[in-house]
Amino acid sequence: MVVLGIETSCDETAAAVVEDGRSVLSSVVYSQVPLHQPYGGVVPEIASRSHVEKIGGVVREALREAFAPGGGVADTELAPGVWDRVDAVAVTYGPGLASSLIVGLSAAKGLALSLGKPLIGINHIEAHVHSVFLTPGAPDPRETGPLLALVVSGGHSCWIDVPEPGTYRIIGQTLDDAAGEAFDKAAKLLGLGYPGGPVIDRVARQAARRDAVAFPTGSPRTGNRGLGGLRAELCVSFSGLKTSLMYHLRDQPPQDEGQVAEIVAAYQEAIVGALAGRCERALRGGRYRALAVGGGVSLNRRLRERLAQVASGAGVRLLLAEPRFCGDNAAMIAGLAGMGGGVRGEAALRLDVVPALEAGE
Amino acid sequence: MAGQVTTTYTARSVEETWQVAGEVARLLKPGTVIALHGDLGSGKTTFVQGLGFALGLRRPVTSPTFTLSTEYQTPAFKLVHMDLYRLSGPDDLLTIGYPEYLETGAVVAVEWPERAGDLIPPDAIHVRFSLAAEPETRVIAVSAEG
Repeated sequence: MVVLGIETSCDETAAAVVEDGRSVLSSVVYSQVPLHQPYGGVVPEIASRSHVEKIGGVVREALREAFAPGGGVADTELAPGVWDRVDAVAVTYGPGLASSLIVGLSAAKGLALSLGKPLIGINHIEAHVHSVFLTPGAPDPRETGPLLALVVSGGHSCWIDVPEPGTYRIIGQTLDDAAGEAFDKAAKLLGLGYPGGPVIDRVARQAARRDAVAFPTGSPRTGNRGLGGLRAELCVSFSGLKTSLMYHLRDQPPQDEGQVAEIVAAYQEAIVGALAGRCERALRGGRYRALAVGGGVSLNRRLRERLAQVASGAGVRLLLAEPRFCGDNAAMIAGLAGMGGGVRGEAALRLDVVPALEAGE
Repeated sequence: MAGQVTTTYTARSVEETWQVAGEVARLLKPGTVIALHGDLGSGKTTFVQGLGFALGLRRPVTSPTFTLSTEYQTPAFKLVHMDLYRLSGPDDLLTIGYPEYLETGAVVAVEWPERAGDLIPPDAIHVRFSLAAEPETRVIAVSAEG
């Protein structure tokens, strides 16, 4: 089954063609980061307008790359018959920014209806879990066994129990800021620019030590109150960390680049330690065969080191997404749809965007 | 603001911030706007978490920065948590459903309310957060109709 995937949940306009859920024929991502950089975060109105401008070209580019590689870049027309090779159109319907999601969903509905192909609505978080299976050499998701998944990005930080493909239950999450958001906010407080994740990863590596500042460990400060079905010991809170950084900068402003690097390294260590520590706890008991980690923050090199230690200590396989599939992309959307996931049939055509959609919902 | 009474609290911990939120929760009626003023890290999201808890919500209230607005159904009202930090102006507020929330009787807690201009109604409850000199201590000033 060949699926055309479309993803516009936040600030990347993406389209991809994936065969049978795992074989990526093309993956095109237009990143809007430079458009939002002056504002220090994603501006919804700018994002939405840019999706509208780019979506047509990005979809054509994905089809051309998949079915006519080597064609001229300036070629805006598709070869005849290209559309016939697509069996279904998959699209993210949540979570994300409503005004961004609506662009991709409308485009996908229009394409599906006009082509007479099925539409498949995909949950963005569940697709991030699937992103680890797009790597050549990754195991087949149907043969991997029960998974613990961590999805960690600018908008999300959650731990998901995946007993079998297609079944998702959130068991822990951040109670306030997502890890990527905590990086962005720290970078802002330190004047390091936006987005925060890559610059913090880079600056932290220049530090002489990682323990120059004792930041809070990211444990929830509100006990078990108001958590519903989540396990408190698998939840994190990063807002105290941000406050603590603010006090530190006020009371002991760094005197040189070396001190900035040490503060950054200690801050990153607190976040990475909180993420890795929850994985370690969740893996106790031996229920899981693998730890799957997706989302933009999973590119963080210190996090990758720590997760490798945790997985090896727990005797489970660590499954990481390829760098190009860590950030938002449409290959994971088309891939999950090709594995049989998502909202299908008539229900898909009735879908509306769900900005606060959760995994397993 | 004329006709408003300001009460100032000192909160030394998350629990105490939640207690202040509990006091504010008793003032709410359908359609109330709570304008939350204060810098990054001054305790605004913690306050809304306490508000949700006081209203009977039993799921986490997370930062609304990513989606700009998050809805929670509490036993009494729909609670909407908005972060206007990245909006370019009041017009943007119209596109994220703000008027509809007020018309349908939701309670709307707004971070960075200055971005909303005069879309914040005159009878809104204003909560101002500032950091005290002592660690983890915040001064929370609540202004509401007397």
